[in-house]
Amino acid sequence: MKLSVWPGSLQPYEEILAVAKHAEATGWDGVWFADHFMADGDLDGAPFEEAWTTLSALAAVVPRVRLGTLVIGNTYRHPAVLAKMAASIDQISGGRFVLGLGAGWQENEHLAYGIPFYTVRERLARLEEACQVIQGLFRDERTTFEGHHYQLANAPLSPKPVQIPLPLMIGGGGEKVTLRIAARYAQEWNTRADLETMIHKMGVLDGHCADLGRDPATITRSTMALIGISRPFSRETRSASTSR
Amino acid sequence: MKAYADAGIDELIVPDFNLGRGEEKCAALDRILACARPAASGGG
Repeated sequence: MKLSVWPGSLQPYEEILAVAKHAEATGWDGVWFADHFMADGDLDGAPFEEAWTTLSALAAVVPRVRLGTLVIGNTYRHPAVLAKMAASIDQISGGRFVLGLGAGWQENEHLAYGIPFYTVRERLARLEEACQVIQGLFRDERTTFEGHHYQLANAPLSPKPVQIPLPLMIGGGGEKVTLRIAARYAQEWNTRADLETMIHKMGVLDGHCADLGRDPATITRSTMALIGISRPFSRETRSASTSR
Repeated sequence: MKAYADAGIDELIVPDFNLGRGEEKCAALDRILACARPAASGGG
C-alpha cells in the first residue's frame, strides 16, 4: 500500500514545499493537493494556495514522488483546459502526475467568484463528459466531441502526457453515478470514508466494473486517513499534570 | 493500517494540517511513516 502526504492549502508555499521535499527524502510515495480557491466555512478569507500552480512548482523541484490533485473540481475549468494542463505537468514531472477529478461541491467559492454551481445531476453529467473529453485528447491526435455540455472540433493536444495513459482518478463516493463513472473511465478512485464504508463502496465499484465488463483490479483505490500524534509524556508535562 | 491494506486499499493519503508546523510536522510525518510502513508493506 502506498503512503502519501496531503499538504493543506492554508499554509504558505514555502511550507508546502518543505513538506513535499521532506516526503520525497524520507520515502513517502506521493504528494496530493486540493483544488479550491478559498476555504470553506469560517476561514474563507484566509490565505489559500492554488492547486495547479503549486503542483507545477513542486513538479519542477521534487523529482521522485507522484504528484496529484485531490481533486480538481470539474466546474472550475473547461475539461480541454484541464487536459492541457495535466499533460504539461506530466511533462514537467517526467510522468508522475495523477489527474484527480471530481464533480465539484464547494458552493461558497462558486458563489464568490461567479462560477456556475449546477445541480448535482448536471455536475455529474458534466463530469462524465469531461472524462470523455480528457481521455480523447490524451489518446487521439485530434478530438471531435459533441456533448450536451462540451463540444470540441478537431482539437489537438500536443505534447501528449508522458504516461500512457495518464492516470485519471475519480474522486467521490456516490454509488449510483460517481462510482459508475469511475468504473467506466478511471485508472484510480478515491473517496473519504472510514474503513467499513470504504469496503462497502469498493464492493459497489466492483459491481459496476462487472456490469461494464471491466476487471476491477485495474482500478486502484485510495482514501484519506487523519492520523493524530500524541506528544511524549515528558517530565515537564508529568510535573504539570500532577501539580493540579 | 494493516486493515486498510488487507481490505484492498492501494494508497493511504495523510493530511498534514493537524501535525503542527516546521520541524514538528516533519517529525510527525517521520513517526507516522515508521509506524505505517511495515503494515503497508504487508507486515505489522
